[in-house]
Amino acid sequence: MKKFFMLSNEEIKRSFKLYLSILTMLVIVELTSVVYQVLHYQSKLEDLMKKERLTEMEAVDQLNGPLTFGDATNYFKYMIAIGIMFTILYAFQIWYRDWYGESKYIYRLLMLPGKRITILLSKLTTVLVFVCGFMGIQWITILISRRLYEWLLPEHLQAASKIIGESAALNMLYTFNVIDTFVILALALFVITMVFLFVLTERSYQKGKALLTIAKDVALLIVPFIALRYLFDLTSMLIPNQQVFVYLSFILIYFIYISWKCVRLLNHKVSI
Amino acid sequence: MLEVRGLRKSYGRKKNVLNDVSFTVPLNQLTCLIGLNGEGKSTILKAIMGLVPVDAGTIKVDGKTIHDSIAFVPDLSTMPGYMSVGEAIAYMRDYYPDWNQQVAEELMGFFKLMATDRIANLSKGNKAKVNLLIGFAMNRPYLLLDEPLAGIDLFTKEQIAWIFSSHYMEGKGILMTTHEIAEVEHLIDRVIFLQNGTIIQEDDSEEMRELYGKSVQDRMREVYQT
Repeated sequence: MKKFFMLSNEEIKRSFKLYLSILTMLVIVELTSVVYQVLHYQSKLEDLMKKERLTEMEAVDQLNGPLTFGDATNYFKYMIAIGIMFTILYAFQIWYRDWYGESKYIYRLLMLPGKRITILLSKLTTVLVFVCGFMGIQWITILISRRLYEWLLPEHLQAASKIIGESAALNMLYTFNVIDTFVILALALFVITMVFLFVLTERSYQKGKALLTIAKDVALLIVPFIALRYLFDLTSMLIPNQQVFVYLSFILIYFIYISWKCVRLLNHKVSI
Repeated sequence: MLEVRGLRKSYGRKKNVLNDVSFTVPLNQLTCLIGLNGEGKSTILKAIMGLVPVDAGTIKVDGKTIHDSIAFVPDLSTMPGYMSVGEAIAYMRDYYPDWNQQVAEELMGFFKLMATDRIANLSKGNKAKVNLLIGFAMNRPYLLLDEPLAGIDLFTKEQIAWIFSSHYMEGKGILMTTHEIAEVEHLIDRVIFLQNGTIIQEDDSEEMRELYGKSVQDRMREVYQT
């Protein structure tokens, strides 16, 4: 346990400055985008009123109504997409820097006393801690954005809407609900473990065999999923809730399989 | 005694890197693994440490399958560049219960390394010194050294060679790979010649000199030129 905490602490320390820089950059862009959307809306409104000699209400109608908070935070979905992309890249980088970085830290890691699973768990924990941090910062940013929106835009030009538009997946992030948060973290855990499996497979076999093994593992996820869907479409033996249960059970079994495989590769197959 | 038995390693079906490699490394001796580039010397050291999987073979220390009695000093920097020398030592001390802080401090003084120097800013020679310091301070009976003298200046080579003849070697079994045989010839107790992943000769260095009337380096030249 001590080794796990020490390794996790070291991993977080190694990437913290970069993480903080990216996070700061995303928050600045998000807050700036809210200010830009509000000011841009007001400027369009004023232009319309001047050029077309319209009243404010007529101009608002021409602009398809008041500016919703969803419109004001329109750019958030791109920032979240960038955040997800950085997380996936980091899941690759957290391993490859140890192999290809200036120092070959992977030698030290693999030779440390104790079980190698600790290395895997510490890297997994580090990425998840960064995901949690990203989610927390997003929550704070959305609250600040709400205040900015209310402060910059006159009340009669504001409109109630979902937090960031109609995307159910993105809105899930901002529900501040324990179950939704748990689902997002579980999804992140699944994706990160998949990336770790790809890296460890690539580090364990020669190029051709590695590609085939990765393709086989991806097929093991996709093919049963498609087959189940086809089966459920053809027959009506299960109600939707039961179908969801079957899908979740399958994902859980697959997650156990990829986790076991990561540990096996790290213990017996990776080479440097 | 460190015993390597029947080590086999191949990449795919075609390339055999190690073919049934067997040898022993006794305590209190410096065994030198000699071969040209790409003969499998580093692969043997990595295989002993479990850093590359092998197709067959066993590695035992005093009859037991354990790595806890072996320290490995690779020929490249293995501590993160952002760490200082002092932090790298503290890092290793935290993980290794047998860590010998006194040896670490003595060698830091001997090598004139500063605790505050960042690993990333060190020269190749100083990185080699840090590696060696870590290897000795791990306080394990067997030490594997991969090209400890490669690419470093004359004075650093002399410092490292001094270590090999000093009290730090007492009670240790050393397995070393090197191309700089002339620098350490007088210190080598046993020699293993490796060619195409196969051991072609294994001898006591003194006996080899007597038998062939040549130095280890000249004998090596003869073996690999024919």
